[in-house]
Amino acid sequence: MREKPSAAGKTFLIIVFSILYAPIFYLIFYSFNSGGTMSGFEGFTLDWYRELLGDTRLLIIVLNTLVIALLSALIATIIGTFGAIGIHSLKKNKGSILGLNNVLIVSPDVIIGASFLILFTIAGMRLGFYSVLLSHIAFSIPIVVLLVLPKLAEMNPSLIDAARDLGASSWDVFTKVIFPYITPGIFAGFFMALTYSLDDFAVTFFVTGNGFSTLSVEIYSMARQGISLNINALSTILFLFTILLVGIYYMLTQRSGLRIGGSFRR
Amino acid sequence: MENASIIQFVNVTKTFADDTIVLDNVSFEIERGKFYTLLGPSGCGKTTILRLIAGFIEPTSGEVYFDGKKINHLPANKRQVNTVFQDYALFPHLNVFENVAFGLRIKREKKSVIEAKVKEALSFVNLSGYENREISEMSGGQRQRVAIARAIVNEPKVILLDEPLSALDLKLRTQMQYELRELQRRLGITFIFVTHDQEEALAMSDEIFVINKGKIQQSGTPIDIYDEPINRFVADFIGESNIVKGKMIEDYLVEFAGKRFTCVDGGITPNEPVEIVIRPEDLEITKKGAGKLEVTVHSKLFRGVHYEMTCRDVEGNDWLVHTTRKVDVGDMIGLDFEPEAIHVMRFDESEEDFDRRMEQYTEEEANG
Amino acid sequence: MDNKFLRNLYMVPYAVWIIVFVIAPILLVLYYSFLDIHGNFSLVNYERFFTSVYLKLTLSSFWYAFLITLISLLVAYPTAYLLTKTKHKHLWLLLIIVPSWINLLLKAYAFIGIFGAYGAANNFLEFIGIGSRQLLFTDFSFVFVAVYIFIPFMILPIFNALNSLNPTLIDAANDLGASRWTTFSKVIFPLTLNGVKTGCQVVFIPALSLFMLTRLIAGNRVITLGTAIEQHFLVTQDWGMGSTIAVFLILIMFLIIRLTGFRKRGA
Repeated sequence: MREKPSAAGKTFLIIVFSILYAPIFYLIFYSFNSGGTMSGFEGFTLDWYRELLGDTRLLIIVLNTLVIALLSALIATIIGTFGAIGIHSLKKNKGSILGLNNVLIVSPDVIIGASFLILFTIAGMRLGFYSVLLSHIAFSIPIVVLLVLPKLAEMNPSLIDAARDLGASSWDVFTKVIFPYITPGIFAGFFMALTYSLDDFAVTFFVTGNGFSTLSVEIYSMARQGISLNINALSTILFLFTILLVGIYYMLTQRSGLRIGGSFRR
Repeated sequence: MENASIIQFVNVTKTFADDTIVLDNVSFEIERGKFYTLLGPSGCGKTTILRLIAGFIEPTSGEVYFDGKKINHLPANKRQVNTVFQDYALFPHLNVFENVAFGLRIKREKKSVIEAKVKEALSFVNLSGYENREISEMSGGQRQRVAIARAIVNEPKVILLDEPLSALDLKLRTQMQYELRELQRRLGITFIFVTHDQEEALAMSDEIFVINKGKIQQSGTPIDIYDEPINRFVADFIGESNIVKGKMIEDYLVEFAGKRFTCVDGGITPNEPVEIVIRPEDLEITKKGAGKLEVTVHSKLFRGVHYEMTCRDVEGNDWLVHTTRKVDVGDMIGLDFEPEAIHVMRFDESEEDFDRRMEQYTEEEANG
Repeated sequence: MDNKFLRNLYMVPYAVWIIVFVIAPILLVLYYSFLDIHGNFSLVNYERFFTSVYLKLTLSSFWYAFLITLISLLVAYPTAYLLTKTKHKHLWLLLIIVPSWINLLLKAYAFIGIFGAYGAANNFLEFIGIGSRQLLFTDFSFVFVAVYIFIPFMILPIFNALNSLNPTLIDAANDLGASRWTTFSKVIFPLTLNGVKTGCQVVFIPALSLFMLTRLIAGNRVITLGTAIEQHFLVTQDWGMGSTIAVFLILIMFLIIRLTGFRKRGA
């Protein structure tokens, strides 16, 4: 069974991996091109990075994106964690609540964006920071629930009995037993919420208004106007940032005995 | 003056959401300082009794008293009982010390007090020096001891043990049986132990409650229950038994396997159909014709200390016999037994009726 | 009673979320689908949806989503299979997933460069003697980039299914005289079918509703249901028609989930 991949198999894998990474390295490579286009490398330059760092508008957008991502992930994690505990404690209707929970996970971004746009308009909300933040919280909650639930399910229910037996109040049970136990799931949920938010384009595109933009939306409008090597420089930085996040994630999963990885991959 | 009983169940019934009755009008008393065992097959309601005492569930009807006070609705965290769980339920995120200290920390005991008490509890279960181990580093037997230490450190009046030995291998289980019994003697508090293992129950208990189908079938000392099983279920569940149908001819005379035998039971209506119990170890093998029963050896298994044989009499009853004598399958042999070995059981006799009858005819015997 | 209320207080935000952000939006979309462009109640949007223009659009959207899913599957299955055979397979898997964490827009943007008139792809075609041609703004480039973007989501569930396959089953099949192909078609594939279904679900539904790629890569040559919704909501401001298309997209989505069962990405 554990035979090694054949030569053909290896070639196939190499091709798949090179196609997966080629566009990323293509972007990074041309971010150092003094020629100003993504073809024909003329000479090495750091001008695009310099220009990027000097572009306060873009830096504000980067900041916006990060603030939205961190805030929405944090709030979604809190609401989602309590939601998961609630669902876990339900005796009836667990299935239908979970069904509702999963609607936003399977829904295409366009539908989420369009329906939230209607929602905010009806509610008379100005489109901008708050509508984007609320949307990001909304579409991140279900994934947090789904990552916390398995931890709750795998928790031995007699642990709670044991804690109560030893005199713990409901609050003690939560803070001293349940919460420490599901922490890996909560971290995984926070992390996924973060990536959902950073990665989102479509929903933000629908629910943002004049004067507020996130990176995805900004890149979209820049890209529609054609090639600008500023974007290349930006993507290089973002790539390094992603690698950093992956590294942290990998370390977290290693430390908690692959527990996060397990629930993430499930 | 302190009342002798610490826990009292009065007509307690427990039904679950789907209307299945798990406990059916159960009443009993638990005395201080004794080792009790709730014995029965899985699903009989023994764990439900334990959970009612611990406070994880509330009775559907009836009353539960603790120390003379009704505690039907008292939540688990306010009760002076502690539980040792079947799967130990040790907190995986805490080390040994913190697991044992859990209850004390909830009570906000002083740091020095906690340290001293945890140390003492751990030494009680022979785990001194394991304070900083993680639970995942402990073996099954060690986890068991941590769970016990975690319960006793809170100085409860009653300790509940829910099949705590079932996950251990045979050798360790036997050792823990001794240790638990010894621990109970040293602490002098009430232990209520749940098990489906009759040998365990017989070996450890002061008192056994045999439970089946949500009712207490019989309660008493191990010897009482073994020697005087009240009905077929108890006889069958406790130890190995030969149970055959018979008829009570008159006091101290019973008929089964086509013959009449003197026995020591009385107080039963003449000619009443009854069931007869004879324990395999009470049957003695004799030469053909020399015993009270004539049987043919049907099968034979070597069990180490003895042979286990099934023999069949002329009426077709099977007799299980334990012997160290060598007999071959197909041999015709005789079985001999003392009148005291015959135990007569009436159909559908309740524990109260049984006790009353026992009292009556033993009195008669004493007077006559 | 009070105690019970307090104990359930922590669930309130989640319950509010379900009502406001799950149930309400669906109802609102349904409501808007019955409004014509002037905001009057009518069935005109549904009538329009069943005209040839929109039916053709739906069909072509399905066709592209089908192509994207099929090609993804054909590439992903062998990849996942080969990955399970490598040493350090989880590290390799992580490397497959990393590109999916890079912002979608950046990847699309990279292909604008690669498929451009003087981009790497044309240089390559030139080099092997085919000669350069128009690549950007074709349906080929659209399908290629879409497959590129979705492939990690297809590989992940298949990898997990293959990885959790009990290896003794394959030994058992061999032992019972099955050839490699029989082992694959009768044992391995059926047992990893759930992974395949998950992969298809998490690729097909988003592929139906792509709209950013259609603009950036396909240059509006491909119009999917997603593009149509975006067009109606953000360009022509005909929310009623956009909602009607959304209603159908939601129905299709529920149908597909009914058929394949709910699955999380990577389940």
